[in-house]
Amino acid sequence: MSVKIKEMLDRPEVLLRGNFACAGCGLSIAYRTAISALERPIVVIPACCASVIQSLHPHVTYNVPTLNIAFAAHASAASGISRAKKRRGEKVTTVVWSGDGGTYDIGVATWSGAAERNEDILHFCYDNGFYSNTGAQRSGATPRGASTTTTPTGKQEKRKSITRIMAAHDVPYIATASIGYPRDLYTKAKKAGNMEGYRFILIDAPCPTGWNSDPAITPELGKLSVQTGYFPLYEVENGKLTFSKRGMKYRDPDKRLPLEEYLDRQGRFKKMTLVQIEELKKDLQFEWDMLLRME
Amino acid sequence: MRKVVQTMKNPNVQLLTGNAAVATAAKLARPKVIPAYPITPQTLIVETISGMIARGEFDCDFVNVESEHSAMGAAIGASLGGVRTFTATSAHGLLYMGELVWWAGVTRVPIVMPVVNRSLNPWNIWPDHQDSMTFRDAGWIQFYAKNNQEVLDLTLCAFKIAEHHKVWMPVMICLDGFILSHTSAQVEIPTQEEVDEFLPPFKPLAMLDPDDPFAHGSLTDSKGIWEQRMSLIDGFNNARVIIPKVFHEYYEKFGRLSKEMIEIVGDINDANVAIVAIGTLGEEAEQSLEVLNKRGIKAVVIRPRVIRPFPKKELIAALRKVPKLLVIDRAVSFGNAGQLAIEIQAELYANKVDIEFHQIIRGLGGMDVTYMDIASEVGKIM
Repeated sequence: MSVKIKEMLDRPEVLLRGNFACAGCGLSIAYRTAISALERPIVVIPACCASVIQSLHPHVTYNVPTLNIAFAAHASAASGISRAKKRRGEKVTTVVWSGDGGTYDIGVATWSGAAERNEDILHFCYDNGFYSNTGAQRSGATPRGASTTTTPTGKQEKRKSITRIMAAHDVPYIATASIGYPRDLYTKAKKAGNMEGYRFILIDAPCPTGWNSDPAITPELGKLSVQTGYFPLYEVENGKLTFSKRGMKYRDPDKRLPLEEYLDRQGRFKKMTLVQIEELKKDLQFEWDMLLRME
Repeated sequence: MRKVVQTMKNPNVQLLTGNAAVATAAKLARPKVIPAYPITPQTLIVETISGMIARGEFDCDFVNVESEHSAMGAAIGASLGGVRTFTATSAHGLLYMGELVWWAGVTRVPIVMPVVNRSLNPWNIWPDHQDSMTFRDAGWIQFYAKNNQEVLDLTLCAFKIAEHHKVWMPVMICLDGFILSHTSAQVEIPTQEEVDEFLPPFKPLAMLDPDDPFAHGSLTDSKGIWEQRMSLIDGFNNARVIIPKVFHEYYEKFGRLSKEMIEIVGDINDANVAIVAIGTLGEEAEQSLEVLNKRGIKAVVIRPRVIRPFPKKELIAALRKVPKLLVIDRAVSFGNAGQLAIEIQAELYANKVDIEFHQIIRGLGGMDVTYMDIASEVGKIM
């Protein structure tokens, strides 16, 4: 059941004015929507755009307690906070807010350890498919064919399936969400916030600066990623996958919009050949097939 | 230091390895979270603590993290979450957590961490000071213990010093691997009541709190970094005052340690040579005094038990009284000399101390250094 929009509007503002986010920043939409759904959050942020947009010390635009920590230390630092607060008898929601670089690549060991220990942490990964903070370099989340500053002729490899890796840890809750569907994101964040143990939500968060897309169409790109089947929406609980209402119909490839409608709006896919586009489509269908087995 | 002898009257004296002394001190200090990762020769610390928790003797969360990097990450989180926090490591473990050792140091997170000194790569598990010396500039207070009793004493003092609101920074207690960590010796253990009187419960100076949000470690420009670095320098200056105070308080209560950050063994007013060494090399040097005396050499041992803050004033005051000096380092700053020698030379020059200066490097990778070796080195410069 999705929450009412009024509830979302009535929540306290967690990201204040004066932040350094670019025009059309997907991360800031994701952060405002997801973090505002939580009760008494304490947020751990590793190196990523979120560690930059908060403004310059002593100014802070995050209206929640925030621990900035090294790139590969988010889930470990959150483990410490979560344990300390339980010891102190304080009820809080300990959150990791990491980009895809910190989640797919350098921070795998720290979250894998925390997930295996089933630490009481809600881990969000806002995914723009590359290292946006350092100037658009390739990450494990970069889709095949996308140009980045370290893959100028397009990435040669498939994008890593982080949710399936997370699912292999048998954590209590995994979900995907897109900033194109903020109610769905808010609802999932709220649901996860009320659960215990290691919970993971992957958020599709467009980055107009790095994707070379129009900042005005960020929410539209968030929708298109779902509608073209690029970014499936689902939840995994007790090993069972359920496609979300918003994304359910895209299980059927015929119901999806052509992938080109998503790719054509982003400069990063401009140099892709038709062969590369076909390979990317195969990658995406492979991921769908793997997810369907988990249903 | 008072001689500790186990008698029927003093049942609190036990045979403990250095690692068991660390674990015992940790338990007495009542930390609430201990994230740690095993590494030789530190392993017995984490095993002993895990056993104490499993038997219900120690009420604490032991977090079995997947690496030292995560051990220090979790320690930073727990400390800023508002509880007393402890961890322990060695050698490569210290290097692997290095990024976060700096994070804790320069953002001032009052974690207490014994480092069981071990040589760095290639594979060699035996002691030298290369690991902790590599981190002497990381914003941590550093102690070096000479025996298992001092390991326990310094660990208890470390909590009180780290958490003092005028200091509020992490402390490393360095103990030589195997020579202390795996060797049993008599250690007098204070009672829980005594330690509770000495060490009050953790009072956070800054804590992550939803009712009072702030950002820790956020993006900072040069002006902000300057302020933070100056504050850290001030913190170390405060530590110069607080450390002797806490040591003295400990002495008053338990009869061990003194208010000095250095220990002098021998008659400094009648010596014709001083030996400066830290950790167990300092205690070994003490043993050489008798041999030297028989050879007609009046020597004295000056042993800094604190290396950060560097006890300049105390060292210079002592070294003004002797004509000759031998510094023994158990680590090297490659391309220069032993770290201790370099730092002492700088102070001697700055304070215009007229002294004949000698330095040697010994004991790397666990090479045995006996009191006879030390006596013979002193003999060479006489």
